Amino acid sequence: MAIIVGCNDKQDPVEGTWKVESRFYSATCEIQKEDGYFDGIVLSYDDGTTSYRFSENDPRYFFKNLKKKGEYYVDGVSGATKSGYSSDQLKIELIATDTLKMISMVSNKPIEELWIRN
Amino acid sequence: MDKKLKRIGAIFCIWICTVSCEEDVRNIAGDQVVTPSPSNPYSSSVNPIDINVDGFDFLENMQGDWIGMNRVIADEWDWFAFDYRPISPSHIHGIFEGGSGGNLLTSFFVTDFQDTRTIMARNGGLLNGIYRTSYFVMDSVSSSSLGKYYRLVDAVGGAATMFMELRFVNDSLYFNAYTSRLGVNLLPTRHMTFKASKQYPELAETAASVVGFPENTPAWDFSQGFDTNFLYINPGETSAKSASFLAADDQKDVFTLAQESGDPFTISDHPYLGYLQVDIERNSTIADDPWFLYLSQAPLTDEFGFLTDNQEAYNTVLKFSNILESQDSFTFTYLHPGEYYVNIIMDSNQDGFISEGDISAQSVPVTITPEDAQQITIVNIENQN
Repeated sequence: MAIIVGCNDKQDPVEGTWKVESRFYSATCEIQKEDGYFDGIVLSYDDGTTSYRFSENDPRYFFKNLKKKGEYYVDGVSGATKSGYSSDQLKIELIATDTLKMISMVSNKPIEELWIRN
Repeated sequence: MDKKLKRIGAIFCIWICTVSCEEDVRNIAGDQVVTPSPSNPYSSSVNPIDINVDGFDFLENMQGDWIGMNRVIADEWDWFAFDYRPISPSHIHGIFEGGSGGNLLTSFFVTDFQDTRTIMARNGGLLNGIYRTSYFVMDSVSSSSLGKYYRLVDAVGGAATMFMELRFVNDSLYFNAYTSRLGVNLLPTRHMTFKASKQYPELAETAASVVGFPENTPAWDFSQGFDTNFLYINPGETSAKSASFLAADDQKDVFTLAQESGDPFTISDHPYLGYLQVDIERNSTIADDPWFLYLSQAPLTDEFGFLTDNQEAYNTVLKFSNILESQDSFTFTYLHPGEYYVNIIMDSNQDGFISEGDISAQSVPVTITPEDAQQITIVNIENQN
Protein backbone atom coordinates (compact mmCIF):
# COMPACT_ATOMS: atom_id res chain seq x y z
CA MET A 1 0.00 0.00 0.00
CA ALA A 2 2.81 2.33 0.88
CA ILE A 3 4.36 1.66 -2.53
CA ILE A 4 1.12 2.50 -4.32
CA VAL A 5 0.74 5.71 -2.40
CA GLY A 6 4.32 6.51 -3.20
CA CYS A 7 3.71 6.05 -6.91
CA ASN A 8 0.53 8.15 -6.80
CA ASP A 9 2.45 10.92 -5.15
CA LYS A 10 4.63 11.16 -8.21
CA GLN A 11 1.71 11.44 -10.58
CA ASP A 12 1.53 14.80 -12.25
CA PRO A 13 -1.72 16.67 -11.50
CA VAL A 14 -2.76 16.76 -15.16
CA GLU A 15 -2.56 13.01 -15.58
CA GLY A 16 -5.87 11.20 -15.70
CA THR A 17 -9.14 11.26 -17.59
CA TRP A 18 -10.76 14.52 -18.61
CA LYS A 19 -14.09 15.51 -20.14
CA VAL A 20 -14.06 18.38 -22.63
CA GLU A 21 -16.55 21.17 -21.98
CA SER A 22 -17.56 22.25 -25.48
CA ARG A 23 -20.80 23.18 -27.20
CA PHE A 24 -19.41 22.01 -30.53
CA TYR A 25 -18.30 18.50 -29.73
CA SER A 26 -18.13 15.97 -26.91
CA ALA A 27 -14.91 14.23 -25.98
CA THR A 28 -12.97 12.54 -23.23
CA CYS A 29 -9.20 12.41 -23.05
CA GLU A 30 -6.63 10.46 -21.09
CA ILE A 31 -3.50 12.46 -20.32
CA GLN A 32 -0.48 10.25 -19.79
CA LYS A 33 3.09 11.05 -18.95
CA GLU A 34 5.73 9.25 -20.98
CA ASP A 35 9.46 9.88 -20.58
CA GLY A 36 8.81 13.31 -19.15
CA TYR A 37 6.40 14.32 -21.89
CA PHE A 38 2.60 14.44 -21.81
CA ASP A 39 0.31 12.84 -24.39
CA GLY A 40 -3.45 13.41 -24.69
CA ILE A 41 -5.07 10.21 -25.90
CA VAL A 42 -8.59 10.48 -27.29
CA LEU A 43 -10.92 8.09 -25.48
CA SER A 44 -14.06 9.30 -27.19
CA TYR A 45 -14.98 12.04 -29.65
CA ASP A 46 -18.17 13.07 -31.43
CA ASP A 47 -18.67 16.30 -33.38
CA GLY A 48 -21.76 15.23 -35.26
CA THR A 49 -19.99 13.92 -38.34
CA THR A 50 -16.90 12.26 -36.84
CA SER A 51 -17.41 9.74 -34.07
CA TYR A 52 -14.56 7.81 -32.46
CA ARG A 53 -13.98 5.44 -29.57
CA PHE A 54 -10.48 4.56 -28.49
CA SER A 55 -8.99 1.58 -30.24
CA GLU A 56 -5.50 0.23 -29.68
CA ASN A 57 -5.27 -0.40 -33.40
CA ASP A 58 -6.27 3.16 -34.21
CA PRO A 59 -5.07 5.46 -31.43
CA ARG A 60 -5.72 9.16 -31.88
CA TYR A 61 -4.34 12.04 -29.93
CA PHE A 62 -5.41 15.52 -28.96
CA PHE A 63 -1.74 16.36 -28.51
CA LYS A 64 1.67 14.77 -28.20
CA ASN A 65 4.85 15.60 -26.34
CA LEU A 66 3.75 18.46 -24.14
CA LYS A 67 6.44 19.67 -21.77
CA LYS A 68 5.90 21.11 -18.33
CA LYS A 69 7.17 24.65 -18.13
CA GLY A 70 6.40 26.38 -14.85
CA GLU A 71 2.64 26.35 -14.40
CA TYR A 72 1.99 25.47 -18.02
CA TYR A 73 2.29 22.49 -20.33
CA VAL A 74 3.43 23.65 -23.74
CA ASP A 75 5.20 22.89 -27.00
CA GLY A 76 3.16 19.89 -28.05
CA VAL A 77 2.53 18.75 -31.58
CA SER A 78 -1.22 19.00 -31.87
CA GLY A 79 -3.14 15.85 -32.61
CA ALA A 80 -5.25 17.90 -34.97
CA THR A 81 -3.10 16.91 -37.88
CA LYS A 82 -0.80 14.18 -39.00
CA SER A 83 1.62 16.82 -40.03
CA GLY A 84 4.73 18.15 -38.47
CA TYR A 85 3.90 21.40 -40.18
CA SER A 86 0.87 22.15 -38.08
CA SER A 87 0.87 25.67 -36.77
CA ASP A 88 -1.43 24.77 -33.89
CA GLN A 89 -0.01 25.95 -30.64
CA LEU A 90 -1.27 24.34 -27.50
CA LYS A 91 -1.02 25.34 -23.90
CA ILE A 92 -2.54 23.72 -20.83
CA GLU A 93 -2.99 25.40 -17.50
CA LEU A 94 -4.17 23.61 -14.38
CA ILE A 95 -6.56 26.19 -12.96
CA ALA A 96 -8.02 23.92 -10.25
CA THR A 97 -7.44 20.40 -9.05
CA ASP A 98 -10.12 19.11 -11.36
CA THR A 99 -10.10 21.73 -14.09
CA LEU A 100 -7.74 22.37 -16.97
CA LYS A 101 -7.78 25.34 -19.28
CA MET A 102 -6.83 24.26 -22.79
CA ILE A 103 -5.74 27.07 -25.08
CA SER A 104 -5.30 26.46 -28.81
CA MET A 105 -4.06 29.20 -31.12
CA VAL A 106 -5.98 29.21 -34.39
CA SER A 107 -5.02 31.81 -36.98
CA ASN A 108 -3.40 33.73 -34.14
CA LYS A 109 -6.62 33.69 -32.17
CA PRO A 110 -7.03 31.66 -28.98
CA ILE A 111 -9.72 29.06 -28.50
CA GLU A 112 -10.13 28.34 -24.81
CA GLU A 113 -11.79 25.23 -23.44
CA LEU A 114 -12.25 23.86 -19.97
CA TRP A 115 -11.53 20.20 -19.36
CA ILE A 116 -13.12 18.70 -16.25
CA ARG A 117 -11.68 15.65 -14.51
CA ASN A 118 -13.87 12.68 -15.29
CA MET B 1 -34.96 46.28 -21.19
CA ASP B 2 -31.31 45.74 -20.28
CA LYS B 3 -31.69 41.98 -20.25
CA LYS B 4 -33.44 42.03 -23.58
CA LEU B 5 -30.78 44.13 -25.18
CA LYS B 6 -27.99 42.00 -23.77
CA ARG B 7 -29.62 38.93 -25.21
CA ILE B 8 -30.03 40.54 -28.57
CA GLY B 9 -26.45 41.68 -28.45
CA ALA B 10 -25.23 38.22 -27.64
CA ILE B 11 -27.25 36.80 -30.48
CA PHE B 12 -26.12 39.25 -33.10
CA CYS B 13 -22.56 40.08 -32.16
CA ILE B 14 -20.47 41.56 -34.92
CA TRP B 15 -18.28 39.34 -36.96
CA ILE B 16 -16.29 40.48 -39.91
CA CYS B 17 -15.60 37.78 -42.46
CA THR B 18 -12.02 36.96 -43.23
CA VAL B 19 -10.65 34.98 -46.10
CA SER B 20 -8.21 33.08 -43.97
CA CYS B 21 -8.67 29.33 -44.05
CA GLU B 22 -6.03 28.26 -41.61
CA GLU B 23 -6.00 25.82 -38.73
CA ASP B 24 -9.10 25.47 -36.66
CA VAL B 25 -10.51 23.53 -33.76
CA ARG B 26 -8.75 20.31 -33.12
CA ASN B 27 -9.81 17.81 -35.70
CA ILE B 28 -9.18 14.23 -34.88
CA ALA B 29 -10.87 12.97 -38.02
CA GLY B 30 -8.57 10.47 -39.63
CA ASP B 31 -5.67 10.97 -37.25
CA GLN B 32 -4.09 7.58 -37.23
CA VAL B 33 -0.46 8.58 -37.21
CA VAL B 34 0.80 10.16 -34.05
CA THR B 35 4.18 11.26 -35.21
CA PRO B 36 4.73 14.05 -37.69
CA SER B 37 4.54 12.79 -41.23
CA PRO B 38 5.10 14.71 -44.46
CA SER B 39 2.12 13.10 -46.18
CA ASN B 40 -1.52 14.02 -46.48
CA PRO B 41 -3.75 11.19 -45.27
CA TYR B 42 -6.72 12.37 -47.31
CA SER B 43 -7.21 11.19 -50.87
CA SER B 44 -6.83 13.54 -53.81
CA SER B 45 -8.99 11.37 -56.03
CA VAL B 46 -12.49 12.48 -56.94
CA ASN B 47 -15.11 9.76 -57.28
CA PRO B 48 -18.63 11.16 -57.67
CA ILE B 49 -21.60 9.43 -56.09
CA ASP B 50 -24.23 8.33 -58.58
CA ILE B 51 -27.38 9.90 -57.18
CA ASN B 52 -29.49 7.62 -59.33
CA VAL B 53 -28.41 5.02 -56.76
CA ASP B 54 -28.28 7.07 -53.56
CA GLY B 55 -27.79 10.64 -52.45
CA PHE B 56 -30.46 12.51 -54.38
CA ASP B 57 -32.41 12.91 -51.13
CA PHE B 58 -29.70 15.30 -49.96
CA LEU B 59 -31.46 18.21 -51.62
CA GLU B 60 -34.68 17.63 -49.73
CA ASN B 61 -32.83 17.09 -46.48
CA MET B 62 -30.93 20.35 -46.91
CA GLN B 63 -33.90 22.63 -47.42
CA GLY B 64 -34.97 24.67 -44.41
CA ASP B 65 -34.07 27.59 -42.21
CA TRP B 66 -31.26 26.08 -40.16
CA ILE B 67 -30.85 27.92 -36.86
CA GLY B 68 -28.14 27.03 -34.40
CA MET B 69 -24.59 27.89 -33.39
CA ASN B 70 -21.52 28.24 -35.51
CA ARG B 71 -17.77 28.36 -35.15
CA VAL B 72 -15.70 29.55 -38.10
CA ILE B 73 -11.97 29.29 -37.52
CA ALA B 74 -11.83 30.78 -34.02
CA ASP B 75 -14.96 32.97 -34.12
CA GLU B 76 -18.14 31.74 -32.53
CA TRP B 77 -21.79 32.72 -32.85
CA ASP B 78 -24.30 31.65 -30.22
CA TRP B 79 -26.99 32.25 -32.82
CA PHE B 80 -26.54 31.67 -36.53
CA ALA B 81 -28.80 30.83 -39.44
CA PHE B 82 -28.52 29.48 -42.98
CA ASP B 83 -31.77 29.84 -44.89
CA TYR B 84 -31.79 27.10 -47.54
CA ARG B 85 -34.53 27.21 -50.15
CA PRO B 86 -34.86 25.77 -53.65
CA ILE B 87 -34.19 28.16 -56.51
CA SER B 88 -34.86 25.70 -59.33
CA PRO B 89 -36.10 22.12 -59.60
CA SER B 90 -32.63 20.80 -58.73
CA HIS B 91 -30.74 23.60 -57.01
CA ILE B 92 -30.88 24.72 -53.37
CA HIS B 93 -29.23 27.85 -52.06
CA GLY B 94 -28.14 29.41 -48.76
CA ILE B 95 -25.95 32.39 -47.94
CA PHE B 96 -24.55 34.20 -44.93
CA GLU B 97 -24.59 37.91 -45.74
CA GLY B 98 -22.10 39.52 -43.39
CA GLY B 99 -22.54 43.03 -44.77
CA SER B 100 -19.56 45.29 -45.44
CA GLY B 101 -17.10 42.47 -44.78
CA GLY B 102 -18.64 40.23 -47.40
CA ASN B 103 -20.65 37.06 -47.69
CA LEU B 104 -20.30 33.31 -47.78
CA LEU B 105 -22.59 31.03 -49.74
CA THR B 106 -22.94 27.33 -50.40
CA SER B 107 -25.43 26.03 -52.92
CA PHE B 108 -26.06 22.43 -53.90
CA PHE B 109 -27.30 21.29 -57.29
CA VAL B 110 -27.72 18.30 -59.56
CA THR B 111 -25.25 17.99 -62.39
CA ASP B 112 -23.38 15.54 -64.56
CA PHE B 113 -19.69 15.25 -63.71
CA GLN B 114 -17.19 12.59 -64.73
CA ASP B 115 -19.93 10.71 -66.59
CA THR B 116 -21.96 10.49 -63.40
CA ARG B 117 -25.26 12.08 -62.39
CA THR B 118 -24.32 13.57 -59.06
CA ILE B 119 -24.65 16.54 -56.70
CA MET B 120 -22.12 19.31 -56.54
CA ALA B 121 -21.72 22.28 -54.24
CA ARG B 122 -20.77 25.81 -55.14
CA ASN B 123 -19.10 27.51 -52.19
CA GLY B 124 -17.56 30.94 -51.87
CA GLY B 125 -18.48 34.57 -51.91
CA LEU B 126 -17.07 38.03 -51.96
CA LEU B 127 -14.98 38.73 -48.87
CA ASN B 128 -13.03 41.93 -48.39
CA GLY B 129 -12.71 42.45 -52.12
CA ILE B 130 -11.71 38.87 -52.90
CA TYR B 131 -14.06 36.84 -55.07
CA ARG B 132 -13.79 33.08 -54.65
CA THR B 133 -15.88 30.22 -55.89
CA SER B 134 -14.98 26.60 -55.19
CA TYR B 135 -16.73 23.50 -56.46
CA PHE B 136 -17.23 20.30 -54.51
CA VAL B 137 -18.65 16.95 -55.57
CA MET B 138 -20.49 14.41 -53.45
CA ASP B 139 -18.29 11.37 -52.96
CA SER B 140 -19.80 9.62 -49.95
CA VAL B 141 -23.26 8.77 -48.68
CA SER B 142 -24.24 6.51 -45.81
CA SER B 143 -27.21 5.80 -43.60
CA SER B 144 -27.34 4.54 -40.04
CA SER B 145 -29.35 4.87 -36.88
CA LEU B 146 -27.49 8.16 -36.43
CA GLY B 147 -29.07 9.61 -39.54
CA LYS B 148 -27.90 10.23 -43.07
CA TYR B 149 -24.35 11.31 -43.80
CA TYR B 150 -22.97 12.98 -46.93
CA ARG B 151 -19.49 14.16 -47.84
CA LEU B 152 -18.54 16.53 -50.63
CA VAL B 153 -14.91 16.99 -51.65
CA ASP B 154 -13.03 19.50 -53.77
CA ALA B 155 -13.86 18.67 -57.39
CA VAL B 156 -10.19 18.84 -58.43
CA GLY B 157 -8.10 18.13 -55.34
CA GLY B 158 -10.47 15.79 -53.53
CA ALA B 159 -10.55 15.55 -49.74
CA ALA B 160 -6.83 16.21 -49.70
CA THR B 161 -7.62 19.85 -50.52
CA MET B 162 -10.91 20.41 -48.73
CA PHE B 163 -14.19 18.78 -47.95
CA MET B 164 -17.47 19.24 -46.14
CA GLU B 165 -19.44 16.72 -44.14
CA LEU B 166 -23.14 16.94 -43.37
CA ARG B 167 -25.25 14.68 -41.25
CA PHE B 168 -28.99 14.92 -40.83
CA VAL B 169 -30.80 13.25 -37.96
CA ASN B 170 -34.47 14.07 -37.46
CA ASP B 171 -34.62 17.88 -37.65
CA SER B 172 -30.96 18.41 -36.77
CA LEU B 173 -28.01 19.20 -39.00
CA TYR B 174 -24.29 18.83 -38.33
CA PHE B 175 -22.32 20.67 -41.00
CA ASN B 176 -18.53 20.56 -40.66
CA ALA B 177 -16.06 21.90 -43.22
CA TYR B 178 -12.33 21.32 -43.56
CA THR B 179 -9.95 23.45 -45.62
CA SER B 180 -6.28 23.68 -46.47
CA ARG B 181 -6.12 27.21 -47.93
CA LEU B 182 -6.77 25.77 -51.39
CA GLY B 183 -3.96 23.28 -50.99
CA VAL B 184 -1.34 25.61 -49.53
CA ASN B 185 -1.44 23.82 -46.20
CA LEU B 186 -0.35 20.24 -46.16
CA LEU B 187 -3.75 18.92 -45.20
CA PRO B 188 -7.20 20.24 -44.45
CA THR B 189 -8.20 21.12 -40.92
CA ARG B 190 -11.47 22.24 -39.40
CA HIS B 191 -12.80 25.49 -40.77
CA MET B 192 -16.48 25.53 -39.81
CA THR B 193 -18.56 23.73 -37.21
CA PHE B 194 -22.27 24.42 -37.62
CA LYS B 195 -24.91 22.72 -35.49
CA ALA B 196 -28.51 23.60 -36.14
CA SER B 197 -32.13 22.55 -36.17
CA LYS B 198 -34.62 23.06 -38.96
CA GLN B 199 -37.18 25.78 -38.32
CA TYR B 200 -39.81 27.59 -40.36
CA PRO B 201 -39.97 24.82 -43.01
CA GLU B 202 -42.74 26.66 -44.80
CA LEU B 203 -40.18 29.07 -46.29
CA ALA B 204 -38.51 26.32 -48.30
CA GLU B 205 -41.75 24.46 -48.94
CA THR B 206 -43.27 27.52 -50.56
CA ALA B 207 -40.26 27.94 -52.83
CA ALA B 208 -40.27 24.22 -53.66
CA SER B 209 -43.86 24.46 -54.77
CA VAL B 210 -43.14 27.43 -57.02
CA VAL B 211 -40.03 26.04 -58.76
CA GLY B 212 -41.10 22.38 -58.91
CA PHE B 213 -38.42 21.09 -56.55
CA PRO B 214 -36.99 18.47 -56.41
CA GLU B 215 -36.20 16.95 -59.77
CA ASN B 216 -33.27 14.78 -60.78
CA THR B 217 -32.27 16.97 -63.70
CA PRO B 218 -29.02 18.93 -64.12
CA ALA B 219 -29.20 22.50 -62.89
CA TRP B 220 -25.86 23.19 -64.57
CA ASP B 221 -23.73 21.23 -66.99
CA PHE B 222 -20.32 20.15 -65.73
CA SER B 223 -20.08 17.08 -67.94
CA GLN B 224 -16.99 18.55 -69.60
CA GLY B 225 -15.38 19.39 -66.27
CA PHE B 226 -13.64 22.72 -65.73
CA ASP B 227 -11.69 24.95 -68.05
CA THR B 228 -8.27 24.47 -66.46
CA ASN B 229 -7.10 27.78 -67.87
CA PHE B 230 -9.16 29.55 -65.23
CA LEU B 231 -8.57 27.34 -62.20
CA TYR B 232 -6.65 29.11 -59.46
CA ILE B 233 -3.07 27.92 -59.08
CA ASN B 234 -1.18 28.55 -55.88
CA PRO B 235 1.93 30.73 -56.17
CA GLY B 236 4.99 28.68 -57.01
CA GLU B 237 2.99 25.74 -58.30
CA THR B 238 2.23 24.65 -61.85
CA SER B 239 -1.16 23.01 -61.53
CA ALA B 240 -4.36 23.62 -59.61
CA LYS B 241 -5.03 21.76 -56.40
CA SER B 242 -8.57 23.01 -56.14
CA ALA B 243 -11.64 23.61 -58.28
CA SER B 244 -11.49 27.26 -57.31
CA PHE B 245 -11.82 30.51 -59.20
CA LEU B 246 -10.46 33.74 -57.74
CA ALA B 247 -10.34 37.42 -58.53
CA ALA B 248 -9.49 40.35 -56.30
CA ASP B 249 -10.21 44.05 -56.55
CA ASP B 250 -11.98 45.95 -53.82
CA GLN B 251 -13.17 48.55 -56.33
CA LYS B 252 -15.10 46.09 -58.48
CA ASP B 253 -18.50 44.52 -57.96
CA VAL B 254 -19.41 40.85 -57.83
CA PHE B 255 -20.52 40.77 -61.46
CA THR B 256 -17.21 42.07 -62.79
CA LEU B 257 -15.11 39.90 -60.50
CA ALA B 258 -17.13 36.83 -61.44
CA GLN B 259 -16.25 37.35 -65.07
CA GLU B 260 -12.60 38.02 -64.31
CA SER B 261 -12.28 34.91 -62.16
CA GLY B 262 -13.43 32.61 -64.95
CA ASP B 263 -16.10 31.16 -62.68
CA PRO B 264 -18.24 29.02 -64.99
CA PHE B 265 -21.40 29.47 -62.92
CA THR B 266 -21.82 33.09 -61.88
CA ILE B 267 -24.43 34.98 -59.94
CA SER B 268 -26.05 36.04 -63.20
CA ASP B 269 -26.67 32.40 -64.08
CA HIS B 270 -28.73 31.80 -60.96
CA PRO B 271 -32.48 31.73 -61.49
CA TYR B 272 -35.24 32.93 -59.19
CA LEU B 273 -33.09 34.93 -56.73
CA GLY B 274 -33.46 38.68 -56.30
CA TYR B 275 -31.69 41.79 -55.07
CA LEU B 276 -32.58 44.39 -52.48
CA GLN B 277 -30.76 47.68 -52.12
CA VAL B 278 -31.27 49.35 -48.75
CA ASP B 279 -30.37 53.03 -48.36
CA ILE B 280 -30.52 54.94 -45.13
CA GLU B 281 -31.11 58.62 -44.56
CA ARG B 282 -28.79 59.77 -41.82
CA ASN B 283 -29.45 62.65 -39.45
CA SER B 284 -26.96 64.52 -37.31
CA THR B 285 -27.40 62.12 -34.37
CA ILE B 286 -26.36 59.09 -36.37
CA ALA B 287 -24.01 60.74 -38.81
CA ASP B 288 -21.01 58.58 -37.95
CA ASP B 289 -22.61 55.37 -36.73
CA PRO B 290 -22.05 51.92 -38.15
CA TRP B 291 -25.31 49.99 -38.47
CA PHE B 292 -26.98 46.65 -38.27
CA LEU B 293 -29.15 45.67 -41.21
CA TYR B 294 -31.41 42.69 -40.58
CA LEU B 295 -34.06 41.02 -42.69
CA SER B 296 -36.60 39.09 -40.66
CA GLN B 297 -39.95 37.42 -40.97
CA ALA B 298 -41.40 39.37 -38.03
CA PRO B 299 -40.76 43.05 -37.28
CA LEU B 300 -38.01 43.67 -34.73
CA THR B 301 -39.57 46.95 -33.61
CA ASP B 302 -42.88 47.88 -32.06
CA GLU B 303 -45.32 50.33 -33.55
CA PHE B 304 -43.26 53.21 -32.20
CA GLY B 305 -40.02 52.05 -33.77
CA PHE B 306 -38.38 50.75 -30.61
CA LEU B 307 -36.96 47.24 -30.40
CA THR B 308 -39.70 44.79 -29.60
CA ASP B 309 -40.05 42.79 -26.39
CA ASN B 310 -41.26 39.85 -28.46
CA GLN B 311 -38.31 37.48 -28.16
CA GLU B 312 -39.62 35.12 -30.81
CA ALA B 313 -39.31 37.90 -33.39
CA TYR B 314 -35.53 37.79 -33.11
CA ASN B 315 -35.49 34.11 -34.00
CA THR B 316 -37.11 34.96 -37.33
CA VAL B 317 -34.07 36.90 -38.52
CA LEU B 318 -32.90 35.60 -41.90
CA LYS B 319 -30.08 38.03 -42.73
CA PHE B 320 -27.90 39.69 -40.12
CA SER B 321 -25.47 42.12 -41.68
CA ASN B 322 -23.10 44.68 -40.20
CA ILE B 323 -22.51 47.84 -42.20
CA LEU B 324 -19.63 50.25 -41.80
CA GLU B 325 -20.14 53.86 -40.78
CA SER B 326 -18.79 54.93 -44.18
CA GLN B 327 -21.71 53.30 -46.01
CA ASP B 328 -25.22 54.66 -46.40
CA SER B 329 -26.28 51.88 -48.72
CA PHE B 330 -26.07 48.11 -48.95
CA THR B 331 -27.34 45.61 -51.51
CA PHE B 332 -28.42 42.09 -50.69
CA THR B 333 -27.59 39.67 -53.47
CA TYR B 334 -28.74 36.07 -53.94
CA LEU B 335 -31.91 36.98 -52.02
CA HIS B 336 -34.70 34.44 -51.82
CA PRO B 337 -38.07 35.75 -53.01
CA GLY B 338 -40.48 36.25 -50.14
CA GLU B 339 -41.70 38.67 -47.56
CA TYR B 340 -39.28 40.38 -45.20
CA TYR B 341 -39.11 43.15 -42.67
CA VAL B 342 -36.16 45.50 -43.13
CA ASN B 343 -34.72 46.45 -39.74
CA ILE B 344 -32.16 49.20 -39.22
CA ILE B 345 -30.40 49.62 -35.88
CA MET B 346 -27.58 52.12 -35.60
CA ASP B 347 -24.71 50.95 -33.40
CA SER B 348 -24.66 54.33 -31.73
CA ASN B 349 -22.45 53.35 -28.82
CA GLN B 350 -20.24 51.43 -31.26
CA ASP B 351 -19.86 48.43 -28.99
CA GLY B 352 -20.42 45.97 -31.81
CA PHE B 353 -23.72 44.79 -30.35
CA ILE B 354 -27.32 45.84 -30.38
CA SER B 355 -27.46 47.40 -26.95
CA GLU B 356 -28.95 50.14 -24.84
CA GLY B 357 -28.56 53.50 -26.50
CA ASP B 358 -28.64 52.20 -30.06
CA ILE B 359 -31.04 53.99 -32.36
CA SER B 360 -33.59 52.15 -34.49
CA ALA B 361 -36.10 52.90 -37.21
CA GLN B 362 -39.47 51.26 -37.46
CA SER B 363 -39.30 47.94 -39.31
CA VAL B 364 -40.48 48.22 -42.90
CA PRO B 365 -42.11 45.35 -44.83
CA VAL B 366 -40.88 44.49 -48.30
CA THR B 367 -41.81 41.75 -50.75
CA ILE B 368 -39.21 40.29 -53.09
CA THR B 369 -40.56 38.57 -56.17
CA PRO B 370 -38.57 36.12 -58.35
CA GLU B 371 -35.62 37.77 -60.11
CA ASP B 372 -36.67 41.06 -58.54
CA ALA B 373 -34.40 44.06 -57.97
CA GLN B 374 -35.80 46.49 -55.45
CA GLN B 375 -34.61 49.57 -53.64
CA ILE B 376 -35.85 50.99 -50.36
CA THR B 377 -34.82 54.03 -48.36
CA ILE B 378 -35.18 53.98 -44.58
CA VAL B 379 -35.80 57.35 -42.98
CA ASN B 380 -36.63 58.57 -39.49
CA ILE B 381 -33.92 56.56 -37.76
CA GLU B 382 -34.37 58.31 -34.44
CA ASN B 383 -35.66 55.96 -31.74
CA GLN B 384 -33.09 55.57 -29.01
CA ASN B 385 -33.52 52.29 -27.14
